[in-house]
Amino acid sequence: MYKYLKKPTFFLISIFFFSICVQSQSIEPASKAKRPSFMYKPDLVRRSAKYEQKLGILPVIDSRISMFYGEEDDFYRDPIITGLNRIFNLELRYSGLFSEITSIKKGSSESPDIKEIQSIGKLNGANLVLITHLTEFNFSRTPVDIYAKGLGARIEADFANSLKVSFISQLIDIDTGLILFAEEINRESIEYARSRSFKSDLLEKMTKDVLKQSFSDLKILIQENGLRIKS
Amino acid sequence: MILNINKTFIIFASIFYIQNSFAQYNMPPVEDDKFFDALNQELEFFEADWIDNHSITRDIILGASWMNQDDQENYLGQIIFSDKKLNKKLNNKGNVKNEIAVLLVVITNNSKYRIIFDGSSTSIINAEKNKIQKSEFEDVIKKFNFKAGRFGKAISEISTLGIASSKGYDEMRIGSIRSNLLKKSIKKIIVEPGKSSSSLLFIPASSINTNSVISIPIQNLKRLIYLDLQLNLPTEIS
Repeated sequence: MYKYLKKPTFFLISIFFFSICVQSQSIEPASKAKRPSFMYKPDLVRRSAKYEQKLGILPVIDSRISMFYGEEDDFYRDPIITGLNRIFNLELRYSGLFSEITSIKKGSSESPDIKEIQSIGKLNGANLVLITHLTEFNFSRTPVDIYAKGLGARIEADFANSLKVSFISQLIDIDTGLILFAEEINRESIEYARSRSFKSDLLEKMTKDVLKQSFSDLKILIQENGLRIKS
Repeated sequence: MILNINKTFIIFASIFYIQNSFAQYNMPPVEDDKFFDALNQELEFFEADWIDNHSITRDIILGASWMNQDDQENYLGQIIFSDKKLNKKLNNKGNVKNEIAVLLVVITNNSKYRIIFDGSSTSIINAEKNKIQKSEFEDVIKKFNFKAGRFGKAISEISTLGIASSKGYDEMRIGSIRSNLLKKSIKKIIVEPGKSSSSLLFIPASSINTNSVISIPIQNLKRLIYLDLQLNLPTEIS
């Protein structure tokens, strides 16, 4: 049959059918082995600690209004909260802001009172407790352009992919019950992409970027705004 | 017959171009899409006491008003709960199973303390003192008709024997809706002294009752002290 077709026409037909068969894909988590990890090693800072007391870091409390994207949350190798707990621990340990740090495994209630915090602190030998509410860890896509492809047979869109991370951290003094530091950290990473070209490595890059910026903000704000109890 | 393949292809390609022109007529460019337009509409600035329906607790003011049809079209791109249905419900009439109503909620912190406004834990307390949680984010998403119009979709699918797709177009619209809702929905935030913040609260329409109240927890940021702000549901559409 091929000998009856003119070469340019055959070429056009091939491109045409290929392009209409390639449909845009929705965003779904990759298979578990291919999911990205957002673990990274923070820079170690050597300085005299701002707080000489021992800090206990409570597990992050998930206060988001939505899952990561749609009804799915499992886009990473580890669950988001598990990964964030590890990063919080690493970042603050490497920050040099606290002389001693312990990771508290058992979480508090969503809105703990001072008695609950004091009890957790004493149980873990901590003088200070860090409680964090995660308010956003969401992916969203905003369209920037729509056009026809596949010789006009397929409607496609270009997107600004956005990963937004927000959390509220509070540093509480166990003895006095005073909140020494409380700030909301908001950061966003944006990458432009076509709908079907969303890749795991792009998500990994966006996540690490946004987390590094967020923790940089957190550490600067603790250094600058964190109150100290005069002994 | 094989010799006619070249001609046949040209005819088919022409049909695809024509159908696509029809399809695109029903699928406007990004900047003309109502959901994209809504994404760029910032909520109007309010202080809570500018709203008739407000309450004051320790210098912290909470105000709420219903989002009428025009406001829903403006800020969401679509009416998800009509004024007619809302009016009926406010008069304790009408069946609103699985419907979601929208409120504009404004907090103004006139106290001297920084606070956490825990919008993500908002609930409605009805006359029987039962707590009804605000609507889930994904349930709100389901209220939007983001798929391409039937006309464009039908032409697109029929003329290509079902091969062509409006999926990219649908994906674009759902992208706008998600981004818009994430930006405007009520959430947990810090409100500094003297500042105000506006957001949208989505509640199950079945919880609307003249005796129902909105309950939103706040936390003092000097010590771990909590308080529930309460406000009656508005009784009329502004």
